[in-house]
Amino acid sequence: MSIEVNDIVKSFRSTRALDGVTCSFKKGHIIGLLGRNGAGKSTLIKCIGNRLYQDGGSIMMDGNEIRKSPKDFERITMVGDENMLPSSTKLKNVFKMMDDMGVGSEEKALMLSRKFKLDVNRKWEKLSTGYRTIFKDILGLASNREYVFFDEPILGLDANHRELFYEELMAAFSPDRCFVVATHLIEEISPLIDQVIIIDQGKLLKEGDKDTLLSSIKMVSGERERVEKAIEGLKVLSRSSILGQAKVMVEGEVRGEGITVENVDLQRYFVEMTKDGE
Amino acid sequence: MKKDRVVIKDFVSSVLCAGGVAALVVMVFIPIVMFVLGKSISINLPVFSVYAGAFESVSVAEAITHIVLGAMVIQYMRLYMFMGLTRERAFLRTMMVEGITLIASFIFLAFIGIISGLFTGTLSISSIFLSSLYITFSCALMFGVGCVSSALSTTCRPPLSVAVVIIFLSFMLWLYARATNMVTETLRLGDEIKIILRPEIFDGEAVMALVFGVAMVAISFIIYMLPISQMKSTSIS
Repeated sequence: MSIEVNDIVKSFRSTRALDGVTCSFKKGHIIGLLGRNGAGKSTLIKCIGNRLYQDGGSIMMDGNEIRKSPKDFERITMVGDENMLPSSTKLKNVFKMMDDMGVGSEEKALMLSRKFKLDVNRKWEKLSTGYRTIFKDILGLASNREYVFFDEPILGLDANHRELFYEELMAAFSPDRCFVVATHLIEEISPLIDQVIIIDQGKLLKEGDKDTLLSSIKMVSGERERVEKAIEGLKVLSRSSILGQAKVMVEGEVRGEGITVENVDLQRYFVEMTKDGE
Repeated sequence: MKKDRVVIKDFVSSVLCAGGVAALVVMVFIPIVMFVLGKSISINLPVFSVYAGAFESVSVAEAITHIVLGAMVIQYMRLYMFMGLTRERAFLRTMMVEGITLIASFIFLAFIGIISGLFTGTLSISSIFLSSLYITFSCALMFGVGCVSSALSTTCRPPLSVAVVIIFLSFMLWLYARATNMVTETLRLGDEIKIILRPEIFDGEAVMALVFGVAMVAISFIIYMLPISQMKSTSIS
């Protein structure tokens, strides 16, 4: 029960936005889709959501190609970073349509609107950036679909609204659903997600269980020679040294004396993995 | 139909509002102005004579609205796609809504025609229905023009997209003009194949407009299915 992305390629003229990305979105998980600006996160989501056609590869849901299977496509809700509404449409009408088409609950959408203090009598074009994001978040949170993709769901939101979004995200989640959150605020989203997919320059960098991934990553620091000895044979993810001192991020068990070994949080790991020139 | 009521409401209210405003101006505002003007200069101006042009004015408003609705197809497709429909289904659903809107336009035009006919004393039901039908077919052509320009905008960015739209529409309008003035023509494709086009294939300009409208909608569908067609839009930030 998953969406399988197989070797997907998408280019915009000379720019290769996605270069053979293979990953999966399984039910029962909240997945953080992470990447720097221009990494290809939104392009990947848009390919899954049929907004863009990929140049190569396939996107399957339970063994069926999504593009050719309208029934499977109806199991996805995609709240993207794009302006997806006719500008003159009132927000409450979109909620009504969502209910009519069986995408989600109008009642829940109205309840969330009250919580976020969103005036549903307004038109999309009259909303500020923050409230446009809130509106789209509500559409995603009120959806009853199995797979919900949130692309930049906290863009322009203040701290209170972000907290409220995280609370509602957790409340809406259930084991038979899959939420995918593409965001740059890794520190904030980290406690919520249990799976992580990291994309960099159109390529898949890492995919897997967040805790398992982070438990195997260590930051080793200390005298350079001691550090080098301690990390012998381990996979080095990043390295910096100054005045005889070294700081190395490695994957694997570290043993040694006179060195400091620290756990790494997701943001630190992400930054080191996606540093320019690495 | 219940599923589409929000979009139907948007589309139908657009044509009714545009037509309503045009009717209000021609059938209420201008007669009042003429009446007041006539009183002030002590001449009885033929106030209700303007009703003779009401049908044409409303027709223009309807046609313009349909071209705008055609250009907005992409937005409604996006809305449908958010609701879980594939691109193909989103397109077909929007076309279904436009079909309903064309019927609404037809009814509204017929209504205006009857009202103006009553006031001018030239009421002919069959003529009004026929005229309304022809204008509705023209609205289909206008919608096709908007629809194809909307579809082309998903394939390349301005100014290239604008150039492509202008070239395409110029070609289609040239073809339309040629088709409506057609005498029997023979197109030769090599030595063996020849296509004979006879004017009786099409029953006048109105049917031609409908044929071209449908053709342009079909072309839009093909464009949306092209690999280069991108349904993304301006970022909200």
